[in-house]
Order: sequence, then C-alpha cells, then structure tokens
Amino acid sequence: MIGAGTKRGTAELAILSVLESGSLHGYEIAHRIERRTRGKLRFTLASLYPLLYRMENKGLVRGAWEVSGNGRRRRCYRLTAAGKKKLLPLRQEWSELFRALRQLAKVANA
Amino acid sequence: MPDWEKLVREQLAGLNLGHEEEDEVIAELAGHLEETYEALRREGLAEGEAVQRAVSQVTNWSDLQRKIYCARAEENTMNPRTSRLWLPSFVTLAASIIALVAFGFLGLQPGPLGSRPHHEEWSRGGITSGPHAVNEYTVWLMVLPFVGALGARLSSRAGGTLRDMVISGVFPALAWLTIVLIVLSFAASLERGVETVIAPVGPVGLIAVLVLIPGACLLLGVMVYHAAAKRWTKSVA
Repeated sequence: MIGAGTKRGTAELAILSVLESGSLHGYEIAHRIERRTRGKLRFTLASLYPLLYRMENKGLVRGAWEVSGNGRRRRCYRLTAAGKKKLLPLRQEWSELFRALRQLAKVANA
Repeated sequence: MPDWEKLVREQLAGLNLGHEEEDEVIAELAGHLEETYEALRREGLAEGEAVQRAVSQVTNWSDLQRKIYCARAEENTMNPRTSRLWLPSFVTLAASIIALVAFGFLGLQPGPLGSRPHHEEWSRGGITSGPHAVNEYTVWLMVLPFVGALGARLSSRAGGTLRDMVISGVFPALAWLTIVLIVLSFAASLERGVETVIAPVGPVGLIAVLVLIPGACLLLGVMVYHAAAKRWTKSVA
C-alpha cells in the first residue's frame, strides 16, 4: 500500500513540475497535471488545496491574487527559489525509485 | 448556476481562520468549483449534472476543513495584514531612511534634510537656494519612486490589494507627516518655537518638503509598479 508520505511526495513533484513553466491558478494546476499524465494523476479540489497551502507555508510556492483578462480574480501560484531548488533532487529521487521498481518488476517477470 | 461562494462558506462554516484569510480561501475554492462547472458545461453536461460533478470533488467537507486549517493556521506565523501591509510599510520606511543616511555618508551636499551642518543649511536657504543645486535631498527624491515600488511589490506579492500597495508604498511620507505634526505642535508650545524649528520654510513648506514631495515620489513608484504589474498580468492571461 502506498503511504501518505509517498503520495504527498509524488503530488508535490507534480505541482512543482507544472509550475516550472510559469504561474498558474489552482484549477489550471489540476487541469494541466491531468492532461500531462493523460488522466493518470488527478487532483480534486479536496486533494489540491490543502497541499498547495502546505507547500506555500513551506516556502516552495507563493500565491498572489491576480486579475485575468476577463476580470476574474484568481490566486496564482509560482515557484519560489526554494521550490526550484527542491525540484531537481526530488525528480532524481523519484526517477531512481521508479528505475529500481522497473528493475524489480523485470526480475519478477523473468 | 449556484452561488459558489455561498455554498463553500456554508460548508466551511467552522474553518475558524482570520476573517480576511477565510474569505480568501472561500473565494479561491469557489473559483475552482466555478471553473470546473464551466468546463463541464462546455463539455455538454446539463446544468444539474455539472453542478453535481463539480461538488462531488469534495466528499467530506469537514475533513477538507480540518486539512485546510492544519495547512494554513497551524504553521502560519504571520497574519495576512502583517505580510501585506505592515511588513512592506516598515521595509519602505527603513529603505527611505537608509537611503537618506547613505547619501549623507557618500558626501553629497545636504539639502533641507541635511545631515552635516543641518541647521545652518536650513537657515541659509534650504531646498532651492544655496550653492548646491544637486544635494542629498534631490538624490533622495530620485530614489523614492523605487522605494515606493518596492513597498508595492512586497505588498502585492503577499496578496495585498491596491489600497495595501498604496499605503505600503507611501508609508514613509505618512510617518514623516506624523513627526512633522508632533514637531509643529511641540514648537508651537515654545516661546520662540516655530521660528527656531521651521524657519525659513514655514509650516506649509515643511509639510511640502517632508511629506508632500516625498509622498508624490513614492506614489509615483507605486503607480508605475501597479501599471506594469497589471500589463504583465494581462499579457499572461
């Protein structure tokens, strides 16, 4: 069973990755993650915002209200310097984990 | 279409964050539900079904409320008013004072706020007269728009409104105004007070030199920053 810590780790990586290209509001973050993972990773409102707020408190992302072209106020999030710094080792960590799991699966299938 | 803010407010009635912060969370979540609903409608879903699907993102509102509270309140060391208004205001005030002192140390000639032969310079003619056309006061005024923009930037970054940005940006002028009013009322109580302290510029000149002109420079910085940020936001949207 995948523990809460692992789930949170992957979710953080997903959010940091989509914010790498620029600032996005919550709905866009969820939408983009879903699109980029072809629906394999989905964030609902209930799973997204507590995590975003926690990441904001940790200083990984920063939210600020912005007014879009259609006059709608949205809270847009962008990566902080700490968030950018965390992204690279987090990516490496997860990539190593997946490589290890793939190797294990190959052995199991052989 | 339902009133999303009302719906979220009702569901998160016991959130118990500060009033301002709670309003923000509610507005943000309501905005998310509204966007989800609109996307579902664009996909062709009937209104009722789109509402139901949007709301079904949250199966347990009290659990969400607890998680949001934990994420925002427990680790929060600074309330929104502090980060949007007071902190940028004091940074702006400190930056304006540091700039003024630094120009004095750099050896620029003192103006009406002169740091070396202050009182002599004042009594010799202050801002416009005297041998020094460019003095520390003039250079300080040139730096103040950047200080005002810094205050606006800090406030905006923390989610401050235009009002917060303006107050943060022009805060040094407001602080100077308070000091001037205290000095004027103190000087008025002395026998020769007013003449000694504010001559030769007079009370109006003193307010202009210390409050109105710096205030206008600071406000200029705030408005330029605001206009630039607005343009940037539009281009991003």
